[in-house]
Amino acid sequence: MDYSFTFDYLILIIFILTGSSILGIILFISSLIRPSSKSTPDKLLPYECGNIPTGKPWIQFRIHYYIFALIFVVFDAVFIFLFPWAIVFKELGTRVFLAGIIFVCIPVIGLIYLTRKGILKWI
Amino acid sequence: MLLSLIFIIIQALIVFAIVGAAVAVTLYSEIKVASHVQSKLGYMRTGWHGSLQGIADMIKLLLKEEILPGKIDKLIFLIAPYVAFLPVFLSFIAIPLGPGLIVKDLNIGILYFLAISSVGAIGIIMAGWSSYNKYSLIGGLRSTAQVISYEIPHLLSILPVIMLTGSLSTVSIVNAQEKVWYIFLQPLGFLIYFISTLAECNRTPFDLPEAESELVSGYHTEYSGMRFGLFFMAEYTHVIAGCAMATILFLGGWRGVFLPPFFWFLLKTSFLVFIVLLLRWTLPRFRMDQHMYLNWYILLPLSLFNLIITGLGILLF
Repeated sequence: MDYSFTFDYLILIIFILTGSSILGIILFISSLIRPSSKSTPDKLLPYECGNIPTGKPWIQFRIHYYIFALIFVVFDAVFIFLFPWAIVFKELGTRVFLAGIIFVCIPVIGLIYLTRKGILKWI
Repeated sequence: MLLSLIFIIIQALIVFAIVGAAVAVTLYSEIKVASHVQSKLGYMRTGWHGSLQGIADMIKLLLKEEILPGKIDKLIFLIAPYVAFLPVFLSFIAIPLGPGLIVKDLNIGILYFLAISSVGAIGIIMAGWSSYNKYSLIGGLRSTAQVISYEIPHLLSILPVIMLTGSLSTVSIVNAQEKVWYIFLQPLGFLIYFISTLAECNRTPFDLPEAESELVSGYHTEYSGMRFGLFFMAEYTHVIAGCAMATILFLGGWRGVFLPPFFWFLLKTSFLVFIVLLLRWTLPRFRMDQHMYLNWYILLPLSLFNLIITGLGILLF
């Protein structure tokens, strides 16, 4: 690993540390100057427009969200391979272009399959 | 080594100051645009035409009482604002504000930007899940579904620009637009990029995660005080970062005549931010099914079509 590569990630780490400490300082200042008041049982309830909340919110949610996440992972992983293809595109010409078209056809077939299965339809 | 460390910390502080100032200006103009769209005046009391309202709002948020609801998942609840804000802040590392005005010209700049700016969705789902509130949970899930779906056209609309440039570095993309801005070569790409950026920032017409009329205010319902302010800042910073990236990719970055480069960059970015603000007050919200339809059946095929057309164009000309 050469020096500049490590240096790039050092920048990232320092930015994370500086950013989070600034946010921490802002929250700390806020905690110093804001008024503190007693918490009552009603104040600690989840906000549901004034009604007394019923049931638990941590429930099983729609499977659709999960399926969309799965589809996203597949598509994103496929399309990320197009980045190196796009960088060298100008130098390599027609054959690479045809290969790219064939490559793009694979997720398109996937999209047609998903449509036929009715998965992408939000009910 | 120590000297360069201090130098980077100073850079980080400067970037934070720029982000903070930009967010304050955007907040102010949001209300002003909103008021003028609705034939009102908006802020008028604080300073000239309410120009000090940003500072007043900041002080107000700092002074607000913070309520931690009873049954929350405390650890996740407390760190979620950080996770939402930091990635967008980090994405400014790869954004050049002018020739040489960049923290680090990463050789994978665009990829880095795409990767890190979508981490913010994790902060949103953390906030939604840990709040112990039904509305927050639905808001967080919707937001994640939306952000990850629109990630795909977002990525594909940037690919043609990379094909034209042959590099992932943001500086060399701006340098490649010396003769012609890419918006003239890639009008469709720009449109897709802009729409998907709107969706990724959860802005109207894609603000389903915080749809007031159905979800109270979505994932940050239970947040109060400055922690809510951090979510607010994260959203506006995301809008600004997205518009700055659109400027770099399609509008020639800092390139322009007469004015200094930094002003051109500022001018183009603020114009795009202005359009984003204007859209919020002129368009109604999408429904969830329309929203998903737009992504998978319109934007995705269109961006693939754009990719192939660009390839053909590069081969023929």
